[in-house]
Amino acid sequence: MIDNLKSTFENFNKNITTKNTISKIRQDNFDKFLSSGFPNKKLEDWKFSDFKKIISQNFKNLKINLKDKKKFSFDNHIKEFTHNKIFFLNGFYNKHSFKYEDDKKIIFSNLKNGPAYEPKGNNSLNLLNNAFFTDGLLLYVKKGYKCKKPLVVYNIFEGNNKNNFFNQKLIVNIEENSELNILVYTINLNSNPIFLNTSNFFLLEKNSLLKLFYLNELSKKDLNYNFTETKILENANFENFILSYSSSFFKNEINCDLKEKYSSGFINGAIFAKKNQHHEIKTKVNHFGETTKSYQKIKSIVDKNSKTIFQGKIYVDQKAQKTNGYQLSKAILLDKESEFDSKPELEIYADDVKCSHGSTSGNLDENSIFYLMSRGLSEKQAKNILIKGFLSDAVETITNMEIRDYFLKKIEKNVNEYK
Amino acid sequence: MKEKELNKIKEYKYGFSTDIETIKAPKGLNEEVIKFISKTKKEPKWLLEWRLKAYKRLKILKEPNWQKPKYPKIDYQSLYYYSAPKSFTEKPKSIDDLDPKLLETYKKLGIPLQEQQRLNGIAVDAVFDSVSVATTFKDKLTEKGIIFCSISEAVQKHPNLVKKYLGSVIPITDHYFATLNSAVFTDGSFVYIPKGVRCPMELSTYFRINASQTGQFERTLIIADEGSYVSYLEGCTAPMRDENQLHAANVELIALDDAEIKYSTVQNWYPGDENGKGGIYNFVTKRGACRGKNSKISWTQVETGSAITWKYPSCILQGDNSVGEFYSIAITNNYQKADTGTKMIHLGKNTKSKIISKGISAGNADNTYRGLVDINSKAINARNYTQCDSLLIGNKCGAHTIPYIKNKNPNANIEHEATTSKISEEQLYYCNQRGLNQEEAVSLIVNGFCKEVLQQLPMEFAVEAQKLVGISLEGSVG
Repeated sequence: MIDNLKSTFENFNKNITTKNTISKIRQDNFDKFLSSGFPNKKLEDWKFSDFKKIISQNFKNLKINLKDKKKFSFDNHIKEFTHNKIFFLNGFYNKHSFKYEDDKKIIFSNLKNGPAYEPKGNNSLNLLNNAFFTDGLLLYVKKGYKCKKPLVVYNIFEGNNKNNFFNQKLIVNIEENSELNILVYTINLNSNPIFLNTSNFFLLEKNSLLKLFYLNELSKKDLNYNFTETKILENANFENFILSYSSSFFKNEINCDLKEKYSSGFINGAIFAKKNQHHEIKTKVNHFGETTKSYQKIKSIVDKNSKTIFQGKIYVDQKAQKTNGYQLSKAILLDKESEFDSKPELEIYADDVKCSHGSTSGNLDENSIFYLMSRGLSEKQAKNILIKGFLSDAVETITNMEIRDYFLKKIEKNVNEYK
Repeated sequence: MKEKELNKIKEYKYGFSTDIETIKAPKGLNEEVIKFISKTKKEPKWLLEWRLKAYKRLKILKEPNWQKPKYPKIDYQSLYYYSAPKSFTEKPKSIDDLDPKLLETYKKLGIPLQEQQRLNGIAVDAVFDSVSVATTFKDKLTEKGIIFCSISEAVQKHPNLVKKYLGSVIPITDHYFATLNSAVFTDGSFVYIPKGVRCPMELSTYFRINASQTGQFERTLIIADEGSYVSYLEGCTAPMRDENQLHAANVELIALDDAEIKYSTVQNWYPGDENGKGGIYNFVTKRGACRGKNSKISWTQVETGSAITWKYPSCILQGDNSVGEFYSIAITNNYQKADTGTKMIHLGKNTKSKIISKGISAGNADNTYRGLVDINSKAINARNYTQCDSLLIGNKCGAHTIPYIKNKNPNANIEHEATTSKISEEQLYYCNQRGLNQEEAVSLIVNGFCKEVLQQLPMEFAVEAQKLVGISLEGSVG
């Protein structure tokens, strides 16, 4: 696998048109990756997910084909609410439409020629992303501009080409007093399994607001590692929601730095792992500033040989007095082959703080099922109602009403279709 | 607490050392030393081989380094692995033959070994450096068929029991410090409670490290046969020295059908001075196996001493309906560090476990709870409840919670809660208003915070532990 990857990289680095400095960054990152390899369960962060094993079971070879740029028709748009759009096809920027916004206030560019910034992230998949990234989104929301409609980033994979390895970046800077809602919607129309490795960076300046939503509709054999790093400055507010029900492996890793006072971060998620799936949400919230607040709520349903994992950490720096941190993870296991692992962690160095976490896991409540059945529902219906209710509890933390309703619909559909 | 009383115990009151002639094994760790220990103790061949097997394994193993409190590298070659009072070349036949200096030491520690002075009826096994010096109340226990003696004695007199159970819970292939202990363990207590016997008194071991540059490696083995019950207490102290001393003990508990073991520890090793110099490294492996149906193992620990405490008393719940409990108070002050918690491994049906952990850190200390709850797919209807609370006093200390939860069973119920907070101004004000000074108020509030755990201790210990909680936090406020 690694040997194949080496030749893939050589070809890739030769053919991709980037500046010399960037090709050096790529080379450096790839060399670093080679020395560590794919993460395995010996690493604390990957303790519950042996990625090395997972990738070698699913892929013999990772391939990137740069020539693939054909026209496509996509009519799977979200119809539930009006929105601005950006399309990425097979890893490359395709088109966009910002018709609801003021052009001068949103500065947008793709990353085809390489970003003008130092690559971040230090786990080996981040390194791999830095070595192989093809394209991405670079977005500035200018001072004092509040976007009127949400932005949907359509990340589409289609066509029966032999590409199976995609690396992308999203880099977003919300300037002072600005606001933006983003939904990153990843969809695979292809039947070939893919490995998608994304690294995203967000900077929230003073008094700004970012609501970030992740939704995946990948196919059964796809792997997705999604890394997010956010820096939040004074009085800025970050809200993140992950809806995770598709793809075989989906790991979301979110690092959230509350850098300055009065900043806050909310990370919530709902996982519905139905069959042979391996889904993980890993969060790290660092409280560096005074009077900062964080809140996390993750709910998961696990069934049929699936495994879900929640690893969350709240770190409170010595200076971050008057911090308020909360973390809750709840899981329901539906059958004997399913597994839920969690590691909710607190690391606290300041004394005037209120931090707590809770974690529970169990089965659907027999009494509730009985209650619903005594009112004429079948067992299946009763269970579906309880599952929906359980997951909706997390979804209802979303403060953007349009997206909240959209996500609730998605859950409804998924649970109803599920047998 | 009265002013006078406070001043008297402000300093570590067990900090004296006894000037007693000792016999030591040559410095360092090698096969010769292990053979020396085994020979001195007149051990059978199988035990020597067992030790050497562990030593062989140790050479491959690496010291773990994932723990939160980091410590300077321990030079295992500059330690003495065996140290015994000289008068022990021939073990004294009764307590009256003991070296008067030893008796004096234990008297100072508040543990008179002469039974007639002991009114409250606790049988004590006293371990001084590497050997067990005396066991009290033996006759009374023998009447009931209970075996309570040092492990060296058990090796001689009850080899079948020892051979059957030694290393069956903590195998010699376990982690670094457990394997080190298996190779060089010197003494410790052995308890066997026969079928259907309820042990009529508390059994207790008192551990004392006296000699400098010595590591203490004791091994405790408790077997509760079907339907029996035993409550066992453990206390520890060491003299004040400005070097760090290593204490790596192994404790194995085995509970068969319907048996119950209650194991309480009040650990007050020398914690080092206020600048973090000296103190004991307390790296202990404690593990209990609930082998039988309806068995129960309960760990209670009050950890106030040691420069670094690093231990996870665990329960392996193999038998159906077995119960594991863990109650812990860990108090760290000055530069003390603690990384403690438990592991509950649910294998049998209807197994239950409960974890209550209270961590208090003050000064520059770091206090970590680390625990594992693992529910196997066969552990139908398993139940776990975990509560970890931390209290921070001052803004230079840290409190951390790292629970690992693994659930493979849809019929299991797991709950975990943790909170971190400080003593609120309102609480302090309320106490001050009623005439308590700052330190008394803190001591009162902390005692209330720990009450759930203190209640689990046998009465004699509970009183001592309550005082200890107050003393450990001396000087942390104001």
